[in-house]
Amino acid sequence: MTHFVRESLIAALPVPVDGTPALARWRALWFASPGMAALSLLLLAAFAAAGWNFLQWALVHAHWTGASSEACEGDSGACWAFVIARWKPWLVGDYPSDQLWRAWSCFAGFALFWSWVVRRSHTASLQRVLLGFVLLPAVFFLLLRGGGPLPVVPPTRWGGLLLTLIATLVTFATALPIGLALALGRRSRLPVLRWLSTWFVEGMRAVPLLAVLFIAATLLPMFLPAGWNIDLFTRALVAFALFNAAMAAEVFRGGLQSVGRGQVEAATTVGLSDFHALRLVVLPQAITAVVPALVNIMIAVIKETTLLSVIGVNDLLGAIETGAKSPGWVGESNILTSGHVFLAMAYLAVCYGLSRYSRRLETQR
Amino acid sequence: MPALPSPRISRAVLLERLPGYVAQALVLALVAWLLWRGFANFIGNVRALRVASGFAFLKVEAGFEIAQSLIAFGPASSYGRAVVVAALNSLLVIVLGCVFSTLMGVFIAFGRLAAHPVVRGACTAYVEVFRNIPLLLQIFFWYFSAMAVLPSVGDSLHAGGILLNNRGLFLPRLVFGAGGLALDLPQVEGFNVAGGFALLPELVALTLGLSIYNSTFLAEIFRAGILSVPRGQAEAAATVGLSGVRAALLITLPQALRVALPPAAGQYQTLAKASSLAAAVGYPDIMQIVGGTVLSQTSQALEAMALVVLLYAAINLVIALLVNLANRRLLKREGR
Repeated sequence: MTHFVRESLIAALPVPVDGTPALARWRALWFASPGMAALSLLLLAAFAAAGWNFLQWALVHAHWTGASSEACEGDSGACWAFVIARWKPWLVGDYPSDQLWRAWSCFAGFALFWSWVVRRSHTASLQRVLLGFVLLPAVFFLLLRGGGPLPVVPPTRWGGLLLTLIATLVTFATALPIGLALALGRRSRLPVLRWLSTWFVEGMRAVPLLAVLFIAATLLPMFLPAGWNIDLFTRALVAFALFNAAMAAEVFRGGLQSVGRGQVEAATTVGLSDFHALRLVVLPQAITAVVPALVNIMIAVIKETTLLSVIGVNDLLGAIETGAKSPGWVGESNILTSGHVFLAMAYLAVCYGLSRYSRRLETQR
Repeated sequence: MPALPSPRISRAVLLERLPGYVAQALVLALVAWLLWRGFANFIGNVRALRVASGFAFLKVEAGFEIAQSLIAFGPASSYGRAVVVAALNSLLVIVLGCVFSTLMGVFIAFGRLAAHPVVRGACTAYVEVFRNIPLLLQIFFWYFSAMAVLPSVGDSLHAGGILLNNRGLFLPRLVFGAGGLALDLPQVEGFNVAGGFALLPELVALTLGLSIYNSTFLAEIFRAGILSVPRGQAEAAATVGLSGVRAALLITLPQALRVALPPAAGQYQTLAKASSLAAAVGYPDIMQIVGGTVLSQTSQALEAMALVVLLYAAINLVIALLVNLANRRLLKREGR
């Protein structure tokens, strides 16, 4: 009688080793076929040429010093002299020179705050971070504006990076609470609150930000009592706050939906009131869930602040644009190009860094 | 809200709901009061400034020229016609932006998933760079920096009947002549270009900026869609002998679209709204003509901005409808 059942175990096979050496693998990837090889060489050559030309323009033939466009004659290289000589307009705008310490303390204060935010562990003290994001812009605004012992500097004299920073922070600080309120309103049991929030959010999302800014610039003063003079920057901040509140509301709504129904039911069962269930059980979970999305909103706000230059507020982009039209710097076309490249690198560094931070938060969770 | 057991509300339930009713009444009263105060102020200000109100101005002669119009327009045309011209110009740049950003997005999405390290690296770098630079800065770069490098009309760049100079991009145009279909080539005549179809430099810069910026977001959306298609689909396509490109276009992409279409719709709406940045470079779109020229000439800010808002909301709605329609057809064809 034949047996078909094995009576002893076979010895395990040795672990397969990757027999292809690194060089062969590399060749298979880069030079798999003549077409692939040509593509590899062509792409490498193109990137090398582009990089070489950019370095030639940006470093080798660049002009670094000088006080006017005469320093940058000829189109062969970048005109960093424009960026360096006009550091004040693009850094702080028209802020009075003897009061500059106020601007520097804002930059330093934000740098300290941000390094604390990034280095703390993710789950700890989210409330304090959010509180900081609400309080810090208020402190900065009061410090920069002045009053009391400090001489008043109106926002029309702020500009450049300082104004971009303040606009971003104030927008973040105002849009988040309003957005949270709208998100809660949209999920409310009370129909009036639900309709109003839904209409506001959907209406804002259908309109371009530039239109909202135009409305704030041209139309808003007409709706205010005669004699109320709110300066253009503050009106633009109102537009930013309301527009981004609608964006934040959708983010918070997603966060609130991610908290299971059972959480509220359990909270109610142990005797928490509706308010306490929201405050102690739902909100902490909902907000923690959307922190990476909030960082993405911050990136969007930073990029949106460039629209301020369209309605005539002197933000970072506006400062460079007007700088290239200022007396002494007109004429050479590479001046504005250098300004654009410098700004592109600055925005790229900040926004790319933030997007990496957002992705890190997402994977940490 | 829990369903009521009987149509009559008991006293206890009423008492429990009373705070809610009071809160809603208060909010409603506050909103109504704000709106009423705002409009009272507005009417007072309008009377003080002696500005007309209402939409009667739409029939009045506009008296300005528009640099680009797809329908006949002159200074004698009405404001209403100017609004239509502006809306058509907006639609033109939105359609161009959607088409180019989709093509580039699909290309970059496949590139980011390619095995070739240089292709993959270049596509990733493209996405990270152009997504993180503000759109307005990109448009300014194309308009002020890149266009400034272009030659003047006399030294135009030629390529197959296409002219490129600092006055814009000039394409050949098909014309119906006596001898049937003919090609009208753009030609340099003195300091101008005659014939052909002229694209304003503003339109070129705007289309470039919008397409490149939005293609990075669309590439990420399409990439997620492609990744959602099971590997077996591409492998099966290779087994039955389809080439790489045909497998991608015929097998992977249609299935990827099912996942990618809803978020892509949102991106197209973002593109449509971002097209309003035209006003910053002076391309005659809705924002520039209605929110700028018409507003300042008539001083009727409320009516002009209301038109702007309504037009953009309508464009957004149309995009949502079109994508929904496409989505339904896609699902129906696959029998889902």
